[in-house]
Amino acid sequence: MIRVEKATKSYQSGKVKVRALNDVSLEVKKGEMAVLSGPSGSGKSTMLNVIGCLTRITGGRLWLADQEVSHFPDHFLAAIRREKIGFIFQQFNLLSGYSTWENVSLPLLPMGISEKERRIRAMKLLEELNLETRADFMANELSGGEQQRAAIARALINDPEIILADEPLSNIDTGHVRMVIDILRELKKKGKTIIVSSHDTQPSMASLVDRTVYFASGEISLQEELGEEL
Amino acid sequence: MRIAGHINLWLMASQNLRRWRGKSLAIVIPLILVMATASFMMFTRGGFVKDAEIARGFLPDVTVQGIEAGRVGKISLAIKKRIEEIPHVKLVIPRVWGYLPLKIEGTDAAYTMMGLDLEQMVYDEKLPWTIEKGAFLAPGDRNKAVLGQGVALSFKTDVGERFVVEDTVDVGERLLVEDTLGNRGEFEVVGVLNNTVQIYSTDLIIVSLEDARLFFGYGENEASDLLVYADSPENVDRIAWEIAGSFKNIRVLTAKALTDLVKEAFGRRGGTFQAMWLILLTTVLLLVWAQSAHISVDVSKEIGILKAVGWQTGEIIEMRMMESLILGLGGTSIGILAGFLYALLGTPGISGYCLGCASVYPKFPVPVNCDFQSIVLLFILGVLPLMGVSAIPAWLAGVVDPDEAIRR
Repeated sequence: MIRVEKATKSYQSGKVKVRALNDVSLEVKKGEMAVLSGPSGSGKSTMLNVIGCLTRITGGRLWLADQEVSHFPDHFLAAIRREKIGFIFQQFNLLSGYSTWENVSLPLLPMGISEKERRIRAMKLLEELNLETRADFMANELSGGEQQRAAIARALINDPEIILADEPLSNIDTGHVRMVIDILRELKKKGKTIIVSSHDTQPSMASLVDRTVYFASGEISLQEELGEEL
Repeated sequence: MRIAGHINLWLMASQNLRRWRGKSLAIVIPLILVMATASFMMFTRGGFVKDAEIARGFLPDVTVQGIEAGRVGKISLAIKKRIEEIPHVKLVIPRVWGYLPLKIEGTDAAYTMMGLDLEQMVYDEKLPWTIEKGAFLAPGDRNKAVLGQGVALSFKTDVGERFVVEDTVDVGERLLVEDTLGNRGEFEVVGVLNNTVQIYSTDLIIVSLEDARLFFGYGENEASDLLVYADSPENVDRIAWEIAGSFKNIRVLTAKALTDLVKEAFGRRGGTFQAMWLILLTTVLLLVWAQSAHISVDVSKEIGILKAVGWQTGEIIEMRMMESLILGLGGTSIGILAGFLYALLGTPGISGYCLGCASVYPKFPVPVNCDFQSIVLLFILGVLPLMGVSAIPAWLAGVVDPDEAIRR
């Protein structure tokens, strides 16, 4: 279960203090899929980063899998990111100097897993995502859709409990939208907890969503719990 | 982290260096140049200092020189007996020496002729030199000479012939010399010294005391200096003070003072080079820093991504430092090897500066001393700053939240 309680997140932008999240509380149950929705700058991506331990909240508390992690030191947060969370970035964030399979297997590297084993695990995921023929391509040689799938593969390489996806449908063509939604459906079937940020909910994704949380100006304006239709 | 994890990071570091060859070469080539410069400076300076230290073992405890009109001149042997009476003085040996100009077009080189009391200056006991070829002078030898290698390489010895550069002189040949007043002497070469202590031996022509007196026009009761030996090292300073206080118009030099003089002279030249080397090293560090700063946005983003997928800050810094370690070890090793070879080749192009008195010495090979301590020091100086400079940007990007590092 993921629980956020009265979270605030402020940062300094020049001389101006910006409050990206303002007293936000949220709960996502294990195996649920939640969509954080709202216009640009509403705080949904910040919320996703907070849950993904990519940034710290400046106030409030955060629980992941019944563990309060708000005040965990950096190395614990890194371990959580490595073991429990798979993060799919809006801009994919693949490392350009590395091949597709190397990018996918990056989280395994400090764990001491051999190159052979890393490649096997990466190839298995790439095959599931129809990307095996691009395994040895450099990341910058991939199309947008291929980069998206490589980023998904990287997020799944450690079989995490929680999948976080920031605008996963915004940078890919319509042909690949269906594929990404199918991937999310499969992940939900496997019991993964999924949180997706999206400025507009795709109708085809709506059937998967258990909870929609609407953000506006760093606050939650509306929460909807929906019936599951797989 | 398990050992296998570290190995993975090191492998990735080496792959990264291949991936970004241009950046790697931009760092490693200046590093090679700097380390080559630093190495030959350190090795040649070490050679001079080592020469001085070896020679010190054979120097007399105290050298007493005569002063005439404020300059080094003849010393009367009348004071020899009085010095011998000073407590703790074991032995006093007169020595005659002087310089011989080499009249060869295009060179100002000069040699040192030294006349030794062959009864008392026993080879292997009081002399710093060893014989490469032939034999050392024996008591009673007249008109015979032992040459330093520089002299041996430069002279032609047939009687009546002029000295010719590049000609060699060998054991059994004749050596003709002429002093500044036009005095001539003819000597049979009986031995050639080796180069164990080059700065003391390469320009030497060693003859008997009597031959040197005759050649330089010294009377029987005159010498250039007196070599004083003490009965134990702790009495040396006391003897030196007593001699200095007892006689006028003399200069007293202890072995330590003479050695320190040589070490200081070459130490200062070494210091000049070290200053140059520091400037070069600073240049490399600035280059590395500039490279790091230039790519800081990319580096920051990459570090953010690695952190986001679960890497610890320490693991990222370890990988970056490993990259620098590989570059530093590689660049420093090649640089040291290049510097050593350059020193062995006689530091072509700058040997005159290295030697300082090269216009005096003929064919003076630059001494080289490559010891373990110098190599360790060179590796420390070549590798650690590079690792530090590379680690700092990685650390700066590593200590912020992944989200912030990605968005920088």
